[in-house]
Amino acid sequence: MLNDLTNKLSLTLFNNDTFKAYFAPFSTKPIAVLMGDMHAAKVVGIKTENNDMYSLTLAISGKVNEQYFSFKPGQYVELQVKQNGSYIKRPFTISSPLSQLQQDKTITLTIKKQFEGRITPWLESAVEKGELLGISPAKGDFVLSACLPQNATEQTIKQTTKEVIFIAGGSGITPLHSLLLSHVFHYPNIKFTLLYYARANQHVLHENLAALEVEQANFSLRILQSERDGHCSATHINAVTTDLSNSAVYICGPNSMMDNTQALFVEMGLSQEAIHLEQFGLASFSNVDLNVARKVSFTTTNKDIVVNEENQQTLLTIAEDNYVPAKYGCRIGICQECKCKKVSGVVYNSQTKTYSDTGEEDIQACISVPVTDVVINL
Amino acid sequence: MATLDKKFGKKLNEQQLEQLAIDLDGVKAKAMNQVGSTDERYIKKIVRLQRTLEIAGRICLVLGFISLYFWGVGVLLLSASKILDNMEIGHNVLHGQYDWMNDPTLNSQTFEWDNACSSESWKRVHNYEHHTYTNIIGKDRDFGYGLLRLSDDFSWRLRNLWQFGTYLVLSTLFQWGIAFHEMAGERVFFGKRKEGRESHVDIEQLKKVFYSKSTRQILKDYVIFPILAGPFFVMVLLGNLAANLLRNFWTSTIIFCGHFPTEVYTFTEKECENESRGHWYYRQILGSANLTGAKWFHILTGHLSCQVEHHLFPEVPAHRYVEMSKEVQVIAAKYGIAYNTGSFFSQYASVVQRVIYFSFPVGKVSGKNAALYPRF
Repeated sequence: MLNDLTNKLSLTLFNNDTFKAYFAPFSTKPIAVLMGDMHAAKVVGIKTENNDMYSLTLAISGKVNEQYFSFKPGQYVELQVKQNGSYIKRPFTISSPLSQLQQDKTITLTIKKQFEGRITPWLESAVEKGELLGISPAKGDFVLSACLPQNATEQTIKQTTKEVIFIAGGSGITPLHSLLLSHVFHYPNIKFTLLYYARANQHVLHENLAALEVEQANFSLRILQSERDGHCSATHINAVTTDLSNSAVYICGPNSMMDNTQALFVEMGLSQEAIHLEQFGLASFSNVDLNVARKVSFTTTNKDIVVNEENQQTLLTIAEDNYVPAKYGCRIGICQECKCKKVSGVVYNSQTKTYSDTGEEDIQACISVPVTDVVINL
Repeated sequence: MATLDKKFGKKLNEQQLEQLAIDLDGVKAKAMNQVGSTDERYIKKIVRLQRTLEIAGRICLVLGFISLYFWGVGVLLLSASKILDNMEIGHNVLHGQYDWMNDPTLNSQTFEWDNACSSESWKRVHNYEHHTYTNIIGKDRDFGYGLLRLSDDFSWRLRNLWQFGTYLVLSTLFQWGIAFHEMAGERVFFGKRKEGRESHVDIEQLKKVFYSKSTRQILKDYVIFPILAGPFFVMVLLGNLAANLLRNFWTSTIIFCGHFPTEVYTFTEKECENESRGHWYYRQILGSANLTGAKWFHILTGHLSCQVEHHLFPEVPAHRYVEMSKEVQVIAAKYGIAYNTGSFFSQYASVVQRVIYFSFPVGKVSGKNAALYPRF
C-alpha cells in the first residue's frame, strides 16, 4: 500500500516507476539487484575444473519478493553479468549441496564453456573475486520430490524404499552432484546409483562423489569412460539395479545422449513418468541446424507455432499469419514499434545479417527470422 | 529524368542507390561493432548529470526567496535538465539506441520522459511515421505539423498569412503540440476523420494515455513541487513554468532546424512506393539538415544537430553521430548528394525564411526559389 503510493509519487514526480530507478545510474550494483529482481551474489571463489569447465562460488545476500535465497537440489539459477556494457542473463545449474548454503550462505555453479558461446568462455577470466552479480531465485523441476508421491512428507520419504538411478553425461553431472550430496545422507532407505559417463580423466566433481560412496552404503558410483565403456546400455543398467519397476531415473547430459538413454529405459519397461530429464544450458549457436523445422512460442497467447524448414518469414509475419496480436509500424526495421522480448532462442536479423545471442534480449519482430526454437513475449 | 539540383546534377539510378546502401550499411556496421561499455558509460554519465541538474535546479528555485539570482539559476538548471531528459536521453532511448544494454531504466519499451507527450504516442508518430516516411507529403505529419505551410505541396489558405505567429505559439506550447499531435491526426476531439486512414490504436486508448500523462505532468510542475515548497509555492510554480517554456523553445527550434531550413527536399508518396533501402537512405539525407557547433551544443540538441546521421541511423547511439558524419559527408560527396549543414544562426534564419515565404500565396516555386525549396 505504502509502496504503491511511493511508486505513484515517483512516477508523477520523476517519470520513473520507482525512486530506485530514478537514482539507478548513481549505483554500481547490477541493475537487477538494484531493482530488487535478483539476489546479490558476491563472487568468492573461481575454480578451474578442467579445460572445459569451471566453478563459481557465490555468497548470496539480499531478498527478492521478501524472500531469502533457497533452492531444491537439482535446480538452476539465472546469473546476470555485465559484458561490454550489456546486462546478460544465463541459466546455470547449482552443483553444491544444500548444506553448503546453510553453513556458509554460498552456492557453487559449475559451468561448461559453450563452444563459440558469448558468455561461458569469457566469464571465467572476466569475473573477479569480490565482484557483485545478480542471481534469480532457483528454478526447475529436476528435483528429487518429482519422483516421490505428491503429498510426501519428510517422514514418509524417509520410510520410502526406492531405487533412484542417476545418469550423467559429461557436464550433465552438475545437478546430479547437488542432488546426491544433499539427499544420500538424508534418505537411507533410498538406494542411489550414479552412472557417470565422460571421457577418460574428464570426470569433474568426482572426488566428492567417491568420498560419499565410501561413507554411505545406500550410494554406489560407477565412473564410466565413454571411449572404453561406450554409451549407456542395458548391461550397464542391469549391473546396478535389482528392481527397475520400482526405480526412478534422472538423466542429464547432451541432448542426443538423453534421447537415447530415455528410449533405452522405455524399451526396458520403465514408464515415461519415472524418467526425468534436464536440458542444461542453452543450445549454443554452433549446434544450430538451419534446415529444420522450428517452434515459435508466443507467451502472450500460449501459442506454439511450428514453422517448416523452408519458411524464412519474420516473427511479425508468423505472428500475424497465426492471429497472434502484434504491434507493428514501418515493417523495415526502423521504427522499433514491433520491438519485443525474445526470452530464448536464436534469431537472424535480416537487416544487419547477423545472428542474435541465445538468451533473453529485445528484438525487432519485423526483421527477425527464427533459426532455432524461440520463445517470444510480444 | 527530373533535374535534382543544379549544383549536383541528376537523381541517382538504381545501381548507384544499391551501392549507396552498401556504403552506408558499412558506416553503420562499423559504428555498431564499437557499441559497448563506452556508450554505457556515456549515457549513464549524461543521466547522472541530468539528475544532478534537476535536483540542484529545484533546490535553487526554492532558494529564490533569498535572492532572485537563485531563482534565475534554478530556472536555467531545471530547463537544462529537462532538455537533456527530452533530447539526449529520452529521444535517443526511445529510439532503442540503448536497448542492447538490457537495462530496464534505459529501455525504449519502458522509458517515460519529462514531457506532456506520452512516450508511447511519441514512438508511434515520431519513430514510426516521421522516421519511416520522412518528408513524404501526406505521410509524414511532422512536415508542418498540419499547422504550417512549409512547401508548395500544400495549397495556400488565408490562415497561412499569420503562420509565423502560429509557429511562435507552437514553439511556446511545443510539448503540448506533440502530445496532441497523434490525436489531432486521428481527429479525436474535433474535425472529421480522414477516410481510409489506417489506425494503430483505438481512440479511447489515445484519450486515456493522453489524460493520464498530461495530468501527471501538470500535477508535478504546477501542484506537487510548488506545494512541497510551502510558502514559496508561486515562485516554484513560475520557475517550473519558465523551465518548461525554455525547454519548449529549445526543442522546437532544434527540430525545425533539422527539417525545415531551405534546400531540404520534400517527396511525394508515388516516388517512395516500394522504395529500395538505398532510396530510403537517399531520401533521409535529402530530407534532413545538420547544425555545426561545439560538443556541449551537440549534447544539448541530443545530437539532433546531426539530423542527417540520425535519420540514416536512428538506432545507433547518438553521441557517435559527430564522428560518423565525416564518413557520411564523404559518401554524400561521392554520389553528388546535397548534404545540408550550417551554423545554428544561418540554418535558423533559413527556417524563418521558409515559414515566412510560404505564408504568402506564392503558388508553385520556380527559378531561384526552386533551388531553395526543392521537390524531389
